[in-house]
Amino acid sequence: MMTKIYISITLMSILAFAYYLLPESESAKRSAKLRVRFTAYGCSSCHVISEAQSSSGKVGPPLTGLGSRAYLAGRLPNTHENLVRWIRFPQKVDPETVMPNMNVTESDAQEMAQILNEFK
Amino acid sequence: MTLRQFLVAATLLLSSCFQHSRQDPWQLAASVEPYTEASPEEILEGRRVFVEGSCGLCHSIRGTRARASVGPDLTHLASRKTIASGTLPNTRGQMAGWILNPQNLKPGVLMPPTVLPAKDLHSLLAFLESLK
Repeated sequence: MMTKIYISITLMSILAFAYYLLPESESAKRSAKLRVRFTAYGCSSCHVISEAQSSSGKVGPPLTGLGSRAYLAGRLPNTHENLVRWIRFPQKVDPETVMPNMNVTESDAQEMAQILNEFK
Repeated sequence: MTLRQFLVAATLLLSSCFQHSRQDPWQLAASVEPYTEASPEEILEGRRVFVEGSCGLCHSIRGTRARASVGPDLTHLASRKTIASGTLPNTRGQMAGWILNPQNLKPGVLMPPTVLPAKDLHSLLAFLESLK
């Protein structure tokens, strides 16, 4: 009886350790990265993005599948540069927008835009 | 090794295996620069929005006419690390989403959603960030 318990627990531990050694998939890593940025800057308090399993904000539009949209903010063609610009300086694109300037750094905006654009 | 020792060791090993090291959003939030371009006029305008709008009906900010005690006292709001009782990091974006529609971020919260014109929201945020 005891031996069985020992063996099964040891086996479980070995399996878990093997799982731990498995590298995280690239897309999971990128989603996690985006989720961290989203929480820190507060994007998630307004936007849902299902690819990054991010929060429940329902103030602005969901960013799910952003990469396959034609326009951003209803006026900018959806290019990488425009997305960066919109993330960093929303008022320069649309002075009437409620979306605030969150002081996103250039490098963080570049990174977020790149990952968002991969979500088709 | 007793069974108890073995179980503790196995549990520790198991739990450590499932904690893939991840960057912590709260840590990053602490490094997010506050919005610094607000002019004194904008802050004053935000104060007007707060006191004359609906915020002042529930919250107080000492030194202003807002002295209600339904919601938390916000006198030193900008010095806090979190908002919404520790639910969200205190950054500009989180604050904006929280003010506009708190219900989705913390279901059951008593604070109602607030509809604000863009300019009012932005000056309100500038004002709240000045409350060190």
